[in-house]
Amino acid sequence: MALTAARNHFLFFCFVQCSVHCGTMETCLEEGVKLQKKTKEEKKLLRKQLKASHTLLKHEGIDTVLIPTKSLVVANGGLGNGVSREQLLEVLEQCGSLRAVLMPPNKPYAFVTYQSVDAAQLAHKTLNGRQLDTEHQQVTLYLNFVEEVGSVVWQGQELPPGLKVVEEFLSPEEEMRLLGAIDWGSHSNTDTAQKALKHRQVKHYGYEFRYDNNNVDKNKPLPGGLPMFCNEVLDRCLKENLIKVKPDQLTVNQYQPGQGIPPHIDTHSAFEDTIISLSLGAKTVMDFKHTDGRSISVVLPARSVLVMTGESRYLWSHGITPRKFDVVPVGDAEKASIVSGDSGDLTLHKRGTRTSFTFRKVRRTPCDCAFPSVCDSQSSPGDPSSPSVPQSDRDASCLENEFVHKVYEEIASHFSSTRHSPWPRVVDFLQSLPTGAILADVGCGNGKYLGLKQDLFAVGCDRSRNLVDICGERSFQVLVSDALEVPLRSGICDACISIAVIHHFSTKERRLAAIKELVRLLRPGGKALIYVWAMEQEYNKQKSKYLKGKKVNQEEGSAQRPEQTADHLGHSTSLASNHRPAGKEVKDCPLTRQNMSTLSVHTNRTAFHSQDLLVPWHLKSSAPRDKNVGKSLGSADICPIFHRYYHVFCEEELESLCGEVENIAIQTSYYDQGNWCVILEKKSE
Amino acid sequence: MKLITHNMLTSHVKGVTKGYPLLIKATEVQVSEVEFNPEFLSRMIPKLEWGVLVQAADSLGHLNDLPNELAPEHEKDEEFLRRVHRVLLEV
Ligand SMILES: C[S@@+](CC[C@H](N)C(=O)[O-])C[C@H]1O[C@@H](n2cnc3c(N)ncnc32)[C@H](O)[C@@H]1O
Ligand SMILES: [Zn+2]
Repeated sequence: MALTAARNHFLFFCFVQCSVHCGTMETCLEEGVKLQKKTKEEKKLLRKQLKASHTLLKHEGIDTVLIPTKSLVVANGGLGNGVSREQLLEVLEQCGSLRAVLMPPNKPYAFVTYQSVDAAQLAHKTLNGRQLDTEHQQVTLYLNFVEEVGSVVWQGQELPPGLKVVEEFLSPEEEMRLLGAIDWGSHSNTDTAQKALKHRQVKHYGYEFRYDNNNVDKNKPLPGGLPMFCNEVLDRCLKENLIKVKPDQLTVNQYQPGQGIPPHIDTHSAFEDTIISLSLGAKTVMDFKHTDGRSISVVLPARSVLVMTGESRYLWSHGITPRKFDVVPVGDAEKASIVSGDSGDLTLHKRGTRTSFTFRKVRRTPCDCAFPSVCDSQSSPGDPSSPSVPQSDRDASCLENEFVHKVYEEIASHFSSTRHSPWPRVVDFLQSLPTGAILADVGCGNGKYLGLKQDLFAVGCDRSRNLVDICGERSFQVLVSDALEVPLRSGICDACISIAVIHHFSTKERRLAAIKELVRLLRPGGKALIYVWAMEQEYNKQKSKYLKGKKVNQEEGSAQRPEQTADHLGHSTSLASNHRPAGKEVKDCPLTRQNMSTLSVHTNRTAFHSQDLLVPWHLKSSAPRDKNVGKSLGSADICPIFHRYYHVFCEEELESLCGEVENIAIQTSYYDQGNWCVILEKKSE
Repeated sequence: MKLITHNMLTSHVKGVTKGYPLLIKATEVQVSEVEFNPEFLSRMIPKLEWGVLVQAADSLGHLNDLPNELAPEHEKDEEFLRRVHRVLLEV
């Protein structure tokens, strides 16, 4: 053991030395590494070594990333270097509270996940180059960010209710036979439906599962029915009471290492209660998530069968995080287990190719499960067209908080960098104001309208502190405040503008309240200009610039790359009912989370299909992109995607909303490049 | 924040009946020059809460000889407008 340890370290160290000499890594500039009190030479050396450790880790199959995450790989801090767990913890804890530390046996590295990105950044900054004395030698730690390797932890060691994993359900011979029965090569078979989804291969038997509506065409069974080679296994499932009726639909998925499936609940109205899934070829970790935020990660060993019934089928989402390694308990490869927190007995498991056979029974009657909040058969009978809209004010502000305010806060600087050119007709409105007029820009964003006319007094407000700070840097007069409660005196404004803001309110009452608040600020005779995004992106046969994808853009999306717009995790276009968007977690907002399950995700630069939707924002980090890093990660990892909630307005909707406000007259209303716009005037009493 | 902005602020905090004016807690007082526009000023002054401005300026030590009461025809007094300009826009 001591020998292995020494050798591992030596290997690693050797590699580092080499690359320092051969100097192939000139381009590397490790973002954010500030090394205090080091000479220029030392810094240069350290940078090269860091870069080398990148490369080495790559050889080990570990991808480092430039964008800070909560997780770091600590090169030379592994058990294989002779570093003990206690020793490593002592150093890591200096930078913040830890969520998990993982030390794979014999490896010359360890992984740490902090509670916050800040803590991880601090560690990255201060621990790089730190030397540790082990029993045998001195080691130098190098830290790099990685995609999160660990799984989220659920303390109670229990599976979601209704979930079962039967180990060793298939014999190795059966496994081989089933795997051999699937011909991935031929695409011409008419009995099956095969698709190469972006992130995995899929074949359907019995009925085709459609990813556009997450349902099956119940009147269009595929000719062959379920293939014969499944019979034996299905009979055994029936005999052992895992299922009560024979399934009639089979989906075969093949996942390469690094591939996954977004969290989803199988559409209630599409399939009966019990769903079973065989794991073949390699094990994986499946994540189950409850609407209240609980998350349970379950190891699915090869040759096991997963049975989902009741709550685990209807209420919990399941998915597989796309990554190349899983953190699993050390020990028996054939054992199903729950992956839990920071115990010492976890190890890294490199994923192999896994094939799953998922059997379902197509449902012929509406679902009558006990979970109406996530049931598409039972949702809001009163208003079937808008099941997603929040019902209460509290719900609404929760939703906006998660899917508007937090998002703008996160994307502020990227967003600001895409918002230079003022829209001409807004400029016209501002130019028409007389000298000495008081203007309020409510929801001012980066303040692009605040400095346009010098002889006005312009004050802006926005919910996003980061955007307000950007305005502040430009020496505009700005306040952090909500558009429903602007902290300005009533009746002082000669004009107000609200450009692309009111469509972020998620109920009609709140949109109305936002307009009333603008009117409150106006003096009698004062005017308000309002722009909101239009449902109609084509008007009078003219496509908006948004649809045309021009660079200069009236509303959202000038930063969006059309080729990237389909959901990155594998759904083809939209997340229809019961599929919640992956990526963004709603924590303390259970109600919202349920509502989210019915809001669809818009595909950028296409026409809208519903008025209430989530629009993806592909965040580009300002960090320079290192060509070597993240090549294999795919764009999704480099550009995190955020979803913003929008209510897009139909023709006349804005006018009719204004019609409910007292004491105003609509002066004009018009359509301007994909937006509905009005100018209101407050009447003199 | 400029004093002109302060002059327009009010507080919405629930239970605060008199949300105006807000007390100033300055951590740093800066003066930076802005172009003087007499027309802008003479139109702005009637919209201000004059007493509040005087109080605020005084609390920052930048009263700049502003009178407690507005004089009639003050808009013709360039000297006066320049002093208001300084307090309102440059502090
Ligand atoms: C699409 S941006 C438009 C920004 C700016 N008006 C422009 O035209 O560039 C929407 C802005 O509204 C702000 N916003 C959204 N909801 C808000 C609310 N409830 N109160 C205040 N600002 C809000 C966001 O922070 C964001 O800056
Ligand atoms: Zn249901």
